Amino acid sequence: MSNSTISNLTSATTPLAGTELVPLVQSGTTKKAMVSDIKFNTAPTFSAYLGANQSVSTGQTKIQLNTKLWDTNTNYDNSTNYRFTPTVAGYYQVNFYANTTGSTSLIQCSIYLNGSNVASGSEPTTGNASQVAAVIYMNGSTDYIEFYFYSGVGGGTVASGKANTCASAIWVRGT
Amino acid sequence: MNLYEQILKIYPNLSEQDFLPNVGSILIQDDSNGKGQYIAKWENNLPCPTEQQLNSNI
Repeated sequence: MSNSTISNLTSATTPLAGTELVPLVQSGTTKKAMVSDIKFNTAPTFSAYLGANQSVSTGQTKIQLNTKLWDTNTNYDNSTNYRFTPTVAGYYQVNFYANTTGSTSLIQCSIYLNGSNVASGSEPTTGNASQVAAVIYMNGSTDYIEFYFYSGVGGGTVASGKANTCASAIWVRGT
Repeated sequence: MNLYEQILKIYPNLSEQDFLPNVGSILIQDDSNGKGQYIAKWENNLPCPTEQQLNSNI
């Protein structure tokens, strides 16, 4: 690269195609990279909560988090499957909490990955609130997460509202 | 009568502990897809009840 200051260069035509090359220093060596490979602040994140109380019977029940607070990449299905299927691969910080309207049965929150329970809150306990958090890897194409709530004998009602029953996820790093 | 109660009718000696997620031998699940509850896991020594057995106890 010849010596010249950035301010003296001709401005690129926008929007960029993504195939443009930029110089960067990697492990002490100057290399080139395509603009499309440079990602920052574009990773998906979503948050959704339960818009109406949901009755649950004894067992695990998928919670129908149908009201989005945000969904930056339109990766959360809030009307049919109630699942988050991110289109960027990587590790995601996932959070889920749920409150009941006053159930006295055992309760527990869980996060399901591709239909299997991969993270649960503390041991089922009698009370009105449960929460779970985990870092989960998702492949950016087919992997998805869903949010389940266990209710013991007697069932109960999961309370609506973002302060009561809500889930969120955010990309924290790539592969 | 929900699925838990139907199973208890067939096997009254089962306890709530048998149905706990992760540690129990039986898992009842509802995927909120309109199809209702089903037995997602049965690892109990007792045989998994048939549809006919379950329905006969409704």
